[in-house]
Amino acid sequence: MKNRNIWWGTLWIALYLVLSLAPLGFMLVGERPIGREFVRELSVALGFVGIAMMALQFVVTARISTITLSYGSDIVYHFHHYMSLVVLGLWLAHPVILFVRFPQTRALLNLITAPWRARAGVTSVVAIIVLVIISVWRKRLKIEYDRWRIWHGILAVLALTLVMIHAFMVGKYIGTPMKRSLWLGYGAVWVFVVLYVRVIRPLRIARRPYAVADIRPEAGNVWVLALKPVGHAGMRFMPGQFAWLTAWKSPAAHVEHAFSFSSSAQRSEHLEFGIKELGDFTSTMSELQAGHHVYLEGPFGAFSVDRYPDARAYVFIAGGIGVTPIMSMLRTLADRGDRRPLLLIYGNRTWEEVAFRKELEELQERLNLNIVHVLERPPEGWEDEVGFVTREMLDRYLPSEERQVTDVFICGPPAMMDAVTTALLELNIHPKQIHFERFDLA
Amino acid sequence: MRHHIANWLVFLITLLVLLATVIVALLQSGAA
Repeated sequence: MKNRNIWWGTLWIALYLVLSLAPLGFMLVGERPIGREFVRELSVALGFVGIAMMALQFVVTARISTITLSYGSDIVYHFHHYMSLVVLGLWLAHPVILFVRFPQTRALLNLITAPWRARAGVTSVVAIIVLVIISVWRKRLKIEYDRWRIWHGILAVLALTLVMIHAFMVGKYIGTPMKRSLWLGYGAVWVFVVLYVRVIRPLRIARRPYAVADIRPEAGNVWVLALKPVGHAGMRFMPGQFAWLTAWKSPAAHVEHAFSFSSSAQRSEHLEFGIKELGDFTSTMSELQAGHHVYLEGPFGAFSVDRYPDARAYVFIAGGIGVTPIMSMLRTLADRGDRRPLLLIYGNRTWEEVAFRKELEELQERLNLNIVHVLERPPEGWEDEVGFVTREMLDRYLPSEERQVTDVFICGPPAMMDAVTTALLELNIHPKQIHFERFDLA
Repeated sequence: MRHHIANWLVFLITLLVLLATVIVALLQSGAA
């Protein structure tokens, strides 16, 4: 399983490189042009690679399970974020080089007098600039997540379409029939990818609806959403994974959110999600009623005990709602009759906000599970831990003889995960033994 | 911590792509 993930991970990087560099290969096909200047060729080559890498962004975020399983969704999304800055750099470098070396080309910036090929090019660059601005500063610009996702999709497709039009209309570099057919084939691949992601897959998901079986409040503003499959066998997943959930609207509508399973992976016909009432989507969860149909896409993610079955012990460190995927892992281990030593260090602000605390107590009877509650504001007479999860605390609870054979799973607010990771590394836990799930994907 | 993997991937791929771009531009312009 692990070897297969490494194999897929390597294959995807190789494919990424081949597809990004393919346009450069197309440039070299056929006879070499005469009398072209290096600077102009460099500008064109950067532009072509920029187009390919922009198109690849659609593949990176297409939720292809072999990609997310190999790297984990958090790495895939960070790759997407950083790569978008590289793409922006390439898209800007192409015209800037031309403007500097050939000042007469600056006239193309005047959209009133410029030819259509330049209008398409300039507009595509404006679209990608706006796209990056609203994505990097979404929160500062106070753009709601759902609205941002719609604009993100529109601008990305617009930018890519316009830039392809620009390249075809300029035509000089794809003029020969051979080059034209290579580019058409390449373009067809991308049309298929976009069709698959936006049309074919949503249709497949629509054929497997789920009905809301129950929605009940938990402590700490958490809702538990229970689903049962309608007319199919449900979804098999690894405990700790997540799925994209679309409620009310059709699965083609771009209003959906990622939620972690909280139920046991042994029961694919009864799925539960722990959902914190936070954003505009989750705050309307309470409006959902039993019988409503929702759609699920997944499972995704690499945050699971099932990927590390040989560990002799597991340690879970949760902050607030981050306990959700860990609940799934604990319930699954309990259903399987697992007797390995388990430790859960669970941080919350107050005792009232501790979600699933009653069920955790029940799980202790079925598992070899030790639970340490860490509260920022403990009630009077509190005897467990106080404050935040610290290195000193971890040192006390992690038996030194087991540290090299234990896998640690962390899920919580980013600041807490960073602090805990640093502490674990200082305690000589190998990075390979530390696993994360980040909820702040957007 | 894990983000470093993404950072390194982005860095290495960008470096490789830029290198290939320069080589192709040199070949196309007849400088190489």
